[in-house]
Amino acid sequence: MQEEVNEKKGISFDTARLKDTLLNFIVPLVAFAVIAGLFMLIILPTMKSLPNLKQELTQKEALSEILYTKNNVLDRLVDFKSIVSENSTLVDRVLVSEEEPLPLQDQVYKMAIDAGLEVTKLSYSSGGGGKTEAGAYKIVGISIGIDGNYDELVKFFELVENAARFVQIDGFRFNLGKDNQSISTDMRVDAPYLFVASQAVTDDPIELDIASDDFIKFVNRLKELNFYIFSEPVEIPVGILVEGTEEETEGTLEEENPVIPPEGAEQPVENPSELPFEPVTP
Amino acid sequence: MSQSINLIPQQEKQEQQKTAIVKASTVFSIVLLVIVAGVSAYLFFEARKYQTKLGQVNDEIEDHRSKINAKKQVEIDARNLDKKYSVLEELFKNRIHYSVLLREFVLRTPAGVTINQFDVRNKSISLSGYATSYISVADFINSLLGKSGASASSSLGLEELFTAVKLNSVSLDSGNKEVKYSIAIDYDPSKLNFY
Repeated sequence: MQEEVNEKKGISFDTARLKDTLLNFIVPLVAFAVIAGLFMLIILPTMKSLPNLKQELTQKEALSEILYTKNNVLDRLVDFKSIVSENSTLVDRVLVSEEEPLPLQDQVYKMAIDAGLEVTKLSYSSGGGGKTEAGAYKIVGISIGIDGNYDELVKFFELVENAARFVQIDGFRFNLGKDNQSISTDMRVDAPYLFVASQAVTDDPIELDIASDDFIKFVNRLKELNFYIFSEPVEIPVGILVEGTEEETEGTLEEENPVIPPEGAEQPVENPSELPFEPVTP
Repeated sequence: MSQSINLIPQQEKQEQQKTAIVKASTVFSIVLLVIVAGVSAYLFFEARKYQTKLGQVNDEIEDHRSKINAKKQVEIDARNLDKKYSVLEELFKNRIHYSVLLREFVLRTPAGVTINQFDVRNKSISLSGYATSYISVADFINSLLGKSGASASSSLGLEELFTAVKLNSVSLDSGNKEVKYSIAIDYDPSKLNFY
């Protein structure tokens, strides 16, 4: 019995010592518990999230700057709305939106006649396209045969290089006639066309700057071109038009294929004075 | 000889040690707590600062977006114009001016050389014709290559327009006593880009 009491006293003595130790170290224990809590709840999560916050802030500030600049650009475009509209009209006349083969055919014929050449063959074909760094475009081509002399051929090329709508030549060949003076030339005159239907993308910046030197130089270059007006077409003799491609027609083009402009396209200008700029005649 | 006698009992020594340990651990834990609390406060306020600023920037972005969306049609017109302008400008820059090529040929063709056939493709020209003598043909080739001593030369600053000339054939035409020639020429199209 004495041993049981002594054993009980031993157990009580250990518990008492434990309690005593805990009471003595209560402050450090509480302090370490608070430290652990601060570390788990504040320090660790914050250290993980802080770099992401910084990065997100940097990105958002950059986006805000882009949008601010874009807003200023749009405000300027609104202020100069009439100039933007005039420039758009000008560009659309040089790089048309639809194929428009008949006005093109008329233009090429007129250029040949203005150069003093005789047109022996004329046909158009659609299909094909090209690509620039800025984007792709489609092509309609006019195959033409012309007779004349060397100087007249040079003059024709000069008219091509200064014409609106924009045309370009992809190679040519000529043969000297028996008189050693006249030459017969065959070539294809290509006219690119491009239909654009952009969409507003809020966060994307606008690259166009209508006040930049490059753009102003470009517009001035366009204004110097010779504009050919289809509303005064030249009667192309029937014998010149040849079969060749699936897109061609025979006979007088205007009778069999009246020009039907696509919806929303601009009508040919009846009076040159209606153009927003002075056309330059060759 | 004197000797120090420690009259403090062993138990008392243990008590003193225990007290010192408790005191040291208390001080250490409090100091550590203060440091950690300081760091926590700094990180907390730093994160809060960034979140506040992020909120402000988000408000700015929404404000800008609403203003931009109100000018949607202006943006569409500007993008259309920009697209066509970019494509057209490149077309102008890359277009080959054959008028300049032909004028250059006039300057480079010496007297006595006739061109009967002339075929131009991208970067190459095939031509054939007649000349009064073999020397005229050689002269013609030299002037195309811009070599000195040729009777004809460029005056347009396009001396390096033609990069290679190959004489495909040359023969004497017994009928008209003229030299018939055929030449292939490589040219640099970039020299004929004017904008």
